[in-house]
Amino acid sequence: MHELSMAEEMKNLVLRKSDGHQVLCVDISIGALSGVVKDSLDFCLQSVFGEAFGPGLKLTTRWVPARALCGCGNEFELPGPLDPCPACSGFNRTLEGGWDVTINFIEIDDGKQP
Amino acid sequence: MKRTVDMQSPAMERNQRQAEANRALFHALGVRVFNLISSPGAGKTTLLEATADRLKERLAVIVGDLATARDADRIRRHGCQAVQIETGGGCHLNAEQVAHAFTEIKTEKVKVLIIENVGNLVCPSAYDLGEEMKIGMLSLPEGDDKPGKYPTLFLRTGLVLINKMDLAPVMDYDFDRVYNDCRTLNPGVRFLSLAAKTGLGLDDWNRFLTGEG
Repeated sequence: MHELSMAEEMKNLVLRKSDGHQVLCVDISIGALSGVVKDSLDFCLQSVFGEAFGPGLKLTTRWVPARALCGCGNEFELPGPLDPCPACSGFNRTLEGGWDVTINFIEIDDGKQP
Repeated sequence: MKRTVDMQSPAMERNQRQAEANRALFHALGVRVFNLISSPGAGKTTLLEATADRLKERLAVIVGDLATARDADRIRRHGCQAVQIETGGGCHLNAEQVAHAFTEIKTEKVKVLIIENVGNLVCPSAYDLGEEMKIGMLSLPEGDDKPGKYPTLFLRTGLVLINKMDLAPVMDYDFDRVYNDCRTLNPGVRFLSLAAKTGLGLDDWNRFLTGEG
C-alpha cells in the first residue's frame, strides 16, 4: 500500500545520505509482513529513482520472508501469516523479521581519485 | 571512487520520527494514547460517544475522516474535547496530522486520548501515530473472517474489540475463529466484547483505558 509515497520518501532519504554525490546503486529489503506489494514498489521505485538518479542506477529490492520460532522448537520461514508450523502443525510461535521496508545501503561515487 | 554507504534506514523514517516525538510528548503529559482502527461502520464513533459519557473531560479524541466534521461534533456533545482531521482524500492518518491536531487540545485534565482513524482495515496499519497501542475493532455484522483476511493490521493490534454484541442472537458468528486467527497473528492479543449501544462491556473498556484493567 502507498508504494508511490513510500518510493518518494526513500528517494529523499537517499538524496540526503548521498550528499550531492552520484548514486550508483540502492539496495532495499521488503519485509513480508510490511503490507507492501513488491511489484508495485518496484514499479514506483523505477519511476521515482530513475527520474532522480538517472537510468544508470542499479536498484535491487529483496523480499525478506517472516521467520517464525515455534513453541515446538522448529524455526521456519512463514509462507503466510496464518500458516501452521510444518513440524507440529501448531500455531504457537513468535515472528521474527520481515516487518518493514528498509534501505540497506547505497553505493556512491565520491568523486575522489582511488 | 566508488564507496558503499551503509544506511539501514526504514522507508517510513519521516513518519517514524514524528511518531516518536508524539510518543515522547504524550508520555511527558501523562496521557495514554490509543489508535482505534476498523472498517467504516463498525461503531467507533458510537463507542467514543459512550466513552465520553463516562470519562468526560478526562478523554480527548482526534478523529480522521475524508470529509465532514460529523464525528467530532457528535463526540463533543458527550462532554469531551474532539478535534476533527479532514484528510481530503487520505485513507489513513499520519503522525504529522496527529501532532498538528494535538496542539488544539487543552491537556490539563486529559488522561486518555483516542485517535479514531479513518475507517479502513488496510492503510492505517502502516502508520505509527505515537500511540501506546493499536486497537482493532470488529463488529458482528462484518463476519468472523476479517482478521484472517486483513493480517497486516491484526499482526499489529494489542487489543481487539468485538462490537455490536447485542446482535449476537440474530447472527451466526464464529467467535472461536476470530480468537484463533487473532492469536495466530499476535499471540499476546487481548479481546473485549462490547455493545456500545447497550453498554455491554463498557466498564471493562473504561478500566482498560484508564489503566485499571
